[in-house]
Amino acid sequence: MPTRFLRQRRRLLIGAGLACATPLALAQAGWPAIPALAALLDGRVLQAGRVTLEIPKLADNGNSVPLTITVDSPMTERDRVVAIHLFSERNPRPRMASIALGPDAGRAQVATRLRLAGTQHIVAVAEMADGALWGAATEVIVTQSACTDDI
Amino acid sequence: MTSELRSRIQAPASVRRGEVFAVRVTLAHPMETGFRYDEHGRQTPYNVINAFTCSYNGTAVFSASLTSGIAANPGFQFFIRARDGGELLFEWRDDEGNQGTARHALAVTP
Repeated sequence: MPTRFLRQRRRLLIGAGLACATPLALAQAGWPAIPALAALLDGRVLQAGRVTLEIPKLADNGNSVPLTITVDSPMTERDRVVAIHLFSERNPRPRMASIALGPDAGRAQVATRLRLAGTQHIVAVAEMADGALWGAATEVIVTQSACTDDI
Repeated sequence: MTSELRSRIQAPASVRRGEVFAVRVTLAHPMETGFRYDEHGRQTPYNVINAFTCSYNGTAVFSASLTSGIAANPGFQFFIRARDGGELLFEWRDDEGNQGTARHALAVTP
């Protein structure tokens, strides 16, 4: 029976072994295979955790889906979130937003509204001051996609 | 033709030093995806607010690069820790070169 420590160590080693440079490697690490996300990571490891996504599980309409991203960070000068990146699995432009947070950002929380082209996974990546990358992915069911025409 | 873009900023007028306060911003913009057609069948070109920055006394606090994955009339909420009194400056621009600027005066009490 491996201890918690050993399990975590093993998970870290598996994560480190898979350089997330390609969508395939991303998928093997349990993330949605988004080429733009793989390009951002560029071989760096994206760890799961510390990021919470608050978004409706089911959106009637993809035109405006509210999202709150909260990162578990004290936001001190040394230990803070420097950037948050938002990726979509199915949108024509997969990188929805990249937000840089300055030293005066008081809380690691950002809220906005997304436009989603159909049911898909979205991924938020938090870049910490020490260079670590933490992320979270969640699925949103979109009944009516944003990219349909009324005509 | 470029024009001044409109916005609504919600932030407190006065805060205590060290306090963390919320800033809410709504920008008036259609965030055109480039996939819509008008009544004449002409494609509406892609045009979104691609950059939005909020600076606090000259230092960027929240600086976003955006695409059509953000809903029309983009809104943001973020948090600032009060340091000194001064000004919040909001600046943004879209793909057609239209720009917007808004200012918010902030008083900080000890």
